[in-house]
Amino acid sequence: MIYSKNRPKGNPYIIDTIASVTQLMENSTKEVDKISAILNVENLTKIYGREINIGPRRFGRNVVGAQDVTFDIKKGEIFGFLGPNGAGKTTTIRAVLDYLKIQNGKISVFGLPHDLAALSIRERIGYVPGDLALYENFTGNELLEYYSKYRPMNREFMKELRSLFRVDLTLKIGSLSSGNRQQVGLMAALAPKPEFLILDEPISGLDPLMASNFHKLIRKLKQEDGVTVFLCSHDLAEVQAVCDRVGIIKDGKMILVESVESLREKFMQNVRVTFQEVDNMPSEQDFSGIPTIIDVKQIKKRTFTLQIKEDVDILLKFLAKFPVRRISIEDASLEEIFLQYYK
Amino acid sequence: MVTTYLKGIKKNWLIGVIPPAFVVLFIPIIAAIWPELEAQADAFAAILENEIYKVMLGDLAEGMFTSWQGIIIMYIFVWIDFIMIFITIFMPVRLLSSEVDKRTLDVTLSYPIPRWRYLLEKYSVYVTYQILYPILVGSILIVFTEFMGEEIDPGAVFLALSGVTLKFFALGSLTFLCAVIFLKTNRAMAAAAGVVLGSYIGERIGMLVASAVETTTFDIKIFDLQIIQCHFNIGEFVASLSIFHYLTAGNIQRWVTGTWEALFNNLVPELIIVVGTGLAALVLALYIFENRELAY
Repeated sequence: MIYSKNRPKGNPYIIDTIASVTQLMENSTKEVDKISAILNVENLTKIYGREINIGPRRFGRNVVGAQDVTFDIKKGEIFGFLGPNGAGKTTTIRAVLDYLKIQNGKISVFGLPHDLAALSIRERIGYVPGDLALYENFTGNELLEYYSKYRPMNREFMKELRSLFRVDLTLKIGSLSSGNRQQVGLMAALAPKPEFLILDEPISGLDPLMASNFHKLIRKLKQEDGVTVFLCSHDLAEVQAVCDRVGIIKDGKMILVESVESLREKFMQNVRVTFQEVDNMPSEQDFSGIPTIIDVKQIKKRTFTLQIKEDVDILLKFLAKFPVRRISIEDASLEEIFLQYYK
Repeated sequence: MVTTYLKGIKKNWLIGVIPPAFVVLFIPIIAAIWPELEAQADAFAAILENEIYKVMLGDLAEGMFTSWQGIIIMYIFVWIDFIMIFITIFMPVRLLSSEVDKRTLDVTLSYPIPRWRYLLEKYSVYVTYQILYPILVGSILIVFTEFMGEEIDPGAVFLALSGVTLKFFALGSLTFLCAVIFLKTNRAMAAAAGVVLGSYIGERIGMLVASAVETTTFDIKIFDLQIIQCHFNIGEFVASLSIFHYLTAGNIQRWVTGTWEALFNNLVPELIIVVGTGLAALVLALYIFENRELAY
C-alpha cells in the first residue's frame, strides 16, 4: 500500500484492490491474446554464419536473418507478410516451421512451443514454400496420395479443390508448367483442410483467374472454417485484396504491423494542389520544409503533387497563406506505402 | 506407416538391383572358363605370389586358387569390393542429398513425420538392397556349383556374403552420416569419398606396410611385474582402422576350415567392430538430423 498526497481519495484498501484487479485483468488480457493467437513470435532473432574474432582479425561473417521480430496472428486472420528480397521473410517462416534454430526469442504455434511440439503442430498446418519443389517422377494424383499417407486428406474438400484447380493430375509433375506445379503444391497443402496455412508466395506462376479463384477460396476458408493464413507475398494487390493485417519486415527487423485499413488511413496520403497565381505560390523548396511531406513534384506550371504522412493539418495551415484553386486528397495505395517503407 | 521406405524402394530399384545382378553375371562367366582356369591354376597361384597382387587383392590372394570355391570367391569378392566403394559413396548420400538439392525436403518435412524416422526409412531402402547380395549371389552360386558338379562350402559363402552386407551397412552408415552433416551433394559426396576411399586405400597400404616392417613386441610392466606382452605393427594398426579390414572373404574361408571355437573367437570381435561402427554412425546420423537446422 502506498500513501501519498496524489493518492485518490477514498478507502485505501478498496483503491488498492481495484488497482490490483485492473493490473491483473490487463495481464490476463495479454495472456488471453497470446493464447488465442495461432502464431505468436516474440523477439525472434536468427543470425547466420559464425564470426570469430581473434585479436584484431575477423574470420567469417555474421548475417542477420531476423532480429527481434515480434508479431502474432489471431485465429481466423489472414496476415500478410511483406518485405523486400532478403528482408527475413523466409527466415521467419522457416524458424516457425522449426527448420532453423533461433538464437533468441520464442515462437509458439497453437499455444505450443514450435520446437518441442513440432509434430503436433505439423498435424494442423499446411505449408507451401516460396521455391516450391515436388517429386517430379510422381503424377499429381500419386503425389497427393503420397502426402495423404502422412496426413489424410479431406476427401470432400478435395473434390472442391479438383474443380477449382484446373490441372491435369494424371501427368507427371516434371512435365507440368511452373504454374501447374504451383497448383499441385497448393492442393497438397490444402487437401487435409488444415487449421493454419503458411503460404510463401502462393500465387507465383498462377494466371490472374486462378489467383483470383485461390483468393476467393482462402477467404471462404477463413469465413466458413475459421482457417488462419500466414501469407508471405510480394504481390501487394494480393495482400490488399485478402489480408486483414500486414507486417512489413526490412533488414531482418519488423518495422510495422498494422491492419490494411488503418495502414492506408494512417500513413500516407496523396495531395494534388493547384494554385491560382504563379506569382503567389510556394516553391518545391518551400514544400520540402514541411516536416510531414515525404515527396513533392511540380507537375504543371501551377500544380504540385505531394505525398504526406500523418495529419494534413500542417499542410493545410501552410496552404492557407496562398490562393488555392483546387485541392484533392486521397489515401495512398498499399503499394505506395510499401515502397515508402522499402526505401 | 512406411511411406518413405516404399517410395524409396520403388524409386531406387534399378540402382539397388543392378550391382548384385552384375556380380551374379560373373558366376556363369567364371563357370564357363573354369575348365581352362583349372588347368592353369598352379601358374596362376604363382603369379599371385607377387606382392603387388597381394596388395590389390588383399587376403583373397592367399585363397585356394586351385579349387572352384577359391577362384569363384576371389573373383566375386574382388568385384564386390570395387562395387562396394562406388555404391557406399553414392547411394546413401544421394538418398538424402538429392532431396536437399531439389528442395523437396521442405514440403515433406512439413508433414507430421519425425525427422529421425524419415531418415531411418530412407536408410532402410539402402540396407534392403544390400541384403540382395547374400540372397542373389549366394543362391545363384550354389545352383551353378551343383550344375557343374563342383564343391563349395555353403556356410563359408553365406558368412562371407553376410560379411559383405554388414560392411555395406557400416560404410553406408558412415557415408550417410556425411550426408546428414553436409546435406548438399557435392560436399557430402566429397566427404563420403574421403571416408570410403581413405578406408580402402588405408587398408591396402597398411597391409603392404605390415608385410614390410617388423612387428615390435614389448611388455607392459608395473613395478617390475609383467602384466601383458604387446605386439605392435604400424601397418596392421593402420589397416585395422578400416572397415575393409574386417569380415573379409579370405579370412572367413580360413576360419570355417578350423574349429568352431576359432571361428567364434575370430568372427565375433570383427562382427562387433563392423556392426558397432555401423550402428554408432547411424544413430549419430539420426540424432544429428533430428536436431540440426535445415539451412541450405
